[in-house]
Amino acid sequence: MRRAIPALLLLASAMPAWAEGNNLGPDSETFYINMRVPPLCGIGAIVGEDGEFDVGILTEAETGLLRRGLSAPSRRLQASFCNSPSELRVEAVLMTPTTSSRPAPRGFSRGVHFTATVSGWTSDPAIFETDVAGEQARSVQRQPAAQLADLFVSVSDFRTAGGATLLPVASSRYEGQVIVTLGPIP
Amino acid sequence: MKRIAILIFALSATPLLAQGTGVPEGGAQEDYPVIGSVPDNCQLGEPIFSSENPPVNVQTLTGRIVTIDELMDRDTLSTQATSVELAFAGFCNFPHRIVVESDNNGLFRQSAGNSVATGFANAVPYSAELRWADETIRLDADALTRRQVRGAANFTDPVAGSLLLRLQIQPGATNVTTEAPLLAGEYRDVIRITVGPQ
Repeated sequence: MRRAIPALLLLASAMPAWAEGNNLGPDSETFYINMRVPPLCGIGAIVGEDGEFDVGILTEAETGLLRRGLSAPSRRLQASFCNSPSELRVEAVLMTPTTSSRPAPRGFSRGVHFTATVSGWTSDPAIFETDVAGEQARSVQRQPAAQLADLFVSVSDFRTAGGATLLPVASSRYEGQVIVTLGPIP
Repeated sequence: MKRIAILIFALSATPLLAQGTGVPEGGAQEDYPVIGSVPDNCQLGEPIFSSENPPVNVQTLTGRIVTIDELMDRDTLSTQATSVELAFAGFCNFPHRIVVESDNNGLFRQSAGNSVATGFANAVPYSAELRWADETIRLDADALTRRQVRGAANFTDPVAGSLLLRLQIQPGATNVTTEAPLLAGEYRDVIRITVGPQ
C-alpha cells in the first residue's frame, strides 16, 4: 500500500486542470501566443539642416538667363528604416513663381526644371526628372532586405522650362517640391 | 533700373505644388520644398545701327555717341534731312516703365554767348520714336524753347528683344523758320532712356 500512494499522486499530476478534487502536485499548462509584426517603414529626420533646398538667386544679372552651376546642399535623412523588403520612390515638381500667375510672355519662362536624387537605400539611386513626362523607371528602386540606413536627398541640373534661351520671369519666390516615399513592397 | 544716355552730336550746323503618389500601408512620405528667387532686372545693351532702316546722313556711332555727318545742307545752308535707327538688345523681366527724355528739346548750338543774328537759326528740331514690344513712345523735340522734355509708357508684362530708337530730322527744320540758315557751331542734345519699375 505504501508504494501505491506515490503512484496515485503521479496520476493526479497528469490530470487536466479542470479535474475535480484537490490538485496536489506540479501542474503544467501550454498557452499559445500569436503576434504579428506588420511591415513598417519610416523616413528619418533631417540632420543639421531644415527641410528646404534653397537654391538662392536663379538668374545672372547681366543676361537674365538661368545661372549655371545652381546647387543646394544635399539633405541626410538619418536612420530611415524598413522591417521588410521595401520600395523607395522619388517624385518632384518643377519650380514656379508663387507671386504671379500671369502667363509667360514671348521670350520668357515661368518654370525651372531639376533632377531629384535619393541615394543610400539601394545600390542604384532613385532619380526623378521634372521635365520627363509619364512613368520614370529610375524613380523607383527596390531593396530586398529589411534595412536601417540614412537616405541622402539632392537636387541638381537646374534648367529653364521651354529652353535655355528663355528668361525666367521675376518673382521673389520660386517653389518646387521633392517627394520621397518609402514603403513595404505591396 | 537701367539708364542709358545717347549723345547726339553734330558739327557744322534702355508652384504649382502637387501631391505625390499614394503612400502604401506601413510606408512613409515626406515633402521637401525647393526654393529660389529671380530678382527684378532690366538691362539694355550697347546700341548698334538697326538693320531695318539704314541711317541717312549718319555714319558714325561711337559707343553711345551718334555723330551726324553734315547737319547743314550746303546748297540751302539750312538743315539736311537726317535719320538714324538704333537697336539695343535688352530685357525687363517684370512689369516696368520706359521713359525717354531729351535734355534740350532739340539740337542746340553750343557756344558761349547766345546772341543769334537775325534770320539765322541756332537749334534744330527732331523727333524721337522709341519702339519696345508693341508700344511706341514718341517724343517731339520742337526746339522752340531749350528745356527738358520726356515721353513714357508702362508695360504690364516682361519684355525681351530689341529696343529701337529712331531719330529723324526733317530737311530745312529749324527753330526759326523753315529753311532758315544755321549758325556755324556744334549742335547737340542728350537723350536718356530709362527702363525701371513703374
